[in-house]
Amino acid sequence: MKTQKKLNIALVILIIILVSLISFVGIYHLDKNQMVSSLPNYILGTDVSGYRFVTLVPSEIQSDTENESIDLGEAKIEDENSVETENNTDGESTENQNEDNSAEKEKEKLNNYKKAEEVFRARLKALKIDDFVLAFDEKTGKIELSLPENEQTDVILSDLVQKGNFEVSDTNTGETLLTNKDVKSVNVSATDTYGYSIVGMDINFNLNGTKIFKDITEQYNSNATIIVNAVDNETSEDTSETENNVSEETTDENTTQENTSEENTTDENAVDESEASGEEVNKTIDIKIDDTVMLSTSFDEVIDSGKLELSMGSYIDETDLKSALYGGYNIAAIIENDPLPIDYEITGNIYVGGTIQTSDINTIIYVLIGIGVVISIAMIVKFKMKGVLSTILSVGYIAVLLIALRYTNVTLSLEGIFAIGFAFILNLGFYYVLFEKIKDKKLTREEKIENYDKTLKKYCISIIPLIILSIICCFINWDSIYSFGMVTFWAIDISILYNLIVTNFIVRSK
Amino acid sequence: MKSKKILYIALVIIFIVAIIMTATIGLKVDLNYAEGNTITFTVGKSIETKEIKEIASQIWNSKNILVQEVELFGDSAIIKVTENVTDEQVQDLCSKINEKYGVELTSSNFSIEHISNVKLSTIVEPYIIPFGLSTLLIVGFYAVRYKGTKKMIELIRNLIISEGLLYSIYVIARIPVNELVMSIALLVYASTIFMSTIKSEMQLDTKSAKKEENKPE
Repeated sequence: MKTQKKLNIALVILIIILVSLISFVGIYHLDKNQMVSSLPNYILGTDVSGYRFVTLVPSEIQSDTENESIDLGEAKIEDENSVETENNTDGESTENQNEDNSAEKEKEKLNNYKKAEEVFRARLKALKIDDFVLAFDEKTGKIELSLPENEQTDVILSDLVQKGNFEVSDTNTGETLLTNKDVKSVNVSATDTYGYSIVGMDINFNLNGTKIFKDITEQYNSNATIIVNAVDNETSEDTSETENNVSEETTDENTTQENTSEENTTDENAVDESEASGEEVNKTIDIKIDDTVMLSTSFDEVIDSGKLELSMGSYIDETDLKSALYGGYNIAAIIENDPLPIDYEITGNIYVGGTIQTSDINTIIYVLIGIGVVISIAMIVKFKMKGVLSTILSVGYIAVLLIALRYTNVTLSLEGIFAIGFAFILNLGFYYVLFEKIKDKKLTREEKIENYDKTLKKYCISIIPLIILSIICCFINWDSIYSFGMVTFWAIDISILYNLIVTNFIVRSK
Repeated sequence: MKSKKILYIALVIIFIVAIIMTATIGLKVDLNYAEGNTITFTVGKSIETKEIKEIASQIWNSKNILVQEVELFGDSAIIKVTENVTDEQVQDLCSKINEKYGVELTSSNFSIEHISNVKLSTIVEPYIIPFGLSTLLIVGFYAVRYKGTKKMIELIRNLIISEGLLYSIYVIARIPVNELVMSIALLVYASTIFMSTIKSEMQLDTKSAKKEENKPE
């Protein structure tokens, strides 16, 4: 009977050694004269692998340095002027006024910097990039941004410094009808239809915007016309210079008149002709971002839902679809937030390696292993052979967990590495309680099994709060927290399964 | 009971000291989050951040230097220091790197930039929702499992003590706040919750065992 139990334990230990070897050392195969790991690699978080470091500077600072010489010249002239004004009787009051003006300008400048920082934060949050670190210099308006490095990073940066003045205006008169302030939210989505995907953008207006938009759809219906005079149409000339960013298609409710810049030019010519003759032309609106016309359209019916539905094209290729979606998200983030009060430009854009160096990670891992060894020694001292067994079982548990983390594509950040250590201690804690309950040699097999069942049940109940924590962390769009959540979630799941299968097998062995 | 009282008094004193220190001198921030200057350069040959750090610490006479790899080619680096960067120091760095890697860089190959500090609220902010929401739900679980408010209050008290103690250690011992701080806070949070639950479960067991004993046969 005892020999059978010993054989079972030996079998379990052998399996654990095998799994540990696979997990810690890996399995390799020959590929193009190179040994390649058959196991998926760990995915490292931004704090370990690296991030994008971007410097944003107000354009005026750049131009200030460029125009320094010009300013110096002007300053000289000003000085001369000031000498002259000092001679005047009202010289002092002019100086005071100048000082007041410059103080006001300075205050306005600082307010603009602050506002710009808020806009950048809001845009990044709208893009669901929560995992960024922003450092802001209030005096110069300079912003240093650390962004996670992924396929979306470059797309985000391409539009991040756009001023973002969203406008719905009359094509003919140029009158602004709606702006960013009238927008509540913007949704971008892809719909699959017969093998291709249509990317759509829904601009949802707020209460005021909805009312104005309803009026627009009434006034600018496809049958409405306007007699264009030469004086009215000065503004329409701008449209010929614009480019269309979005490949526009009509929705059920909208009738698009101009799709490409070429068409814009054609339409403009038509308007020019009508100008001369004073003919009737259709009343249309322009949807613009920073004076660039995205779309000119009129409406077939009145829309009172406050939702402007735009189609951004259809895509078969997945890469094109992704690019279109990312581009759409960028436009959405710009439209649903205030425009930048001043122009910004990207002066630095580099990929920087993780702040935590490989040596730091090694130190953390060694510390965690050290803690594990100390606890294991304490277990061995207390439970003798059972202590050794609990250590071997815990090593096996970590090996299984690491394999699972590789296959489940869990991002490993610093918090994730800590969570692995935490899981190890948690599992050892279970063994401590279990062996404490079954160490008595007088206990029968049935009593041991009963105690095991009770301990596992208690363990499962005790980790419910941790399951709650891990699930919440899994929904957080911050690399480190997400990593902690995912690792803890898998650690708990695997711990329960591992103890149900492996530990259970050892306890029930006859 | 008396020892518990002393413990609580000691904790209150520690917390008050930590609050006063935060209000007067604030937290000590690690280089990565602090205001400073960066020097970015490309050597054109494979470099080791460790070697660059050694060179930089000779020039700035400080151990508080952050060196990170730039781009993916392994030949560029960024050095961050809190001190001002003078032309002489850049020249010195240039000649030392030239000597070490056998290249011919000039001072113009080194770009210097002033970097603002990162507000600590930016680092803490993302953790508020998961901490808050999970505490709320776990307290709810306690209310159902342990019936009554006693255990709920105990859990909240334990969380305040453990996280407060961690914060106080950072403030009083002047430990620099770096990337590790929130990881440790998360770990302390999870451990406190687990320990509190284990303790409550054990007390529940004792209680039910007593009830069993007192049951008339």
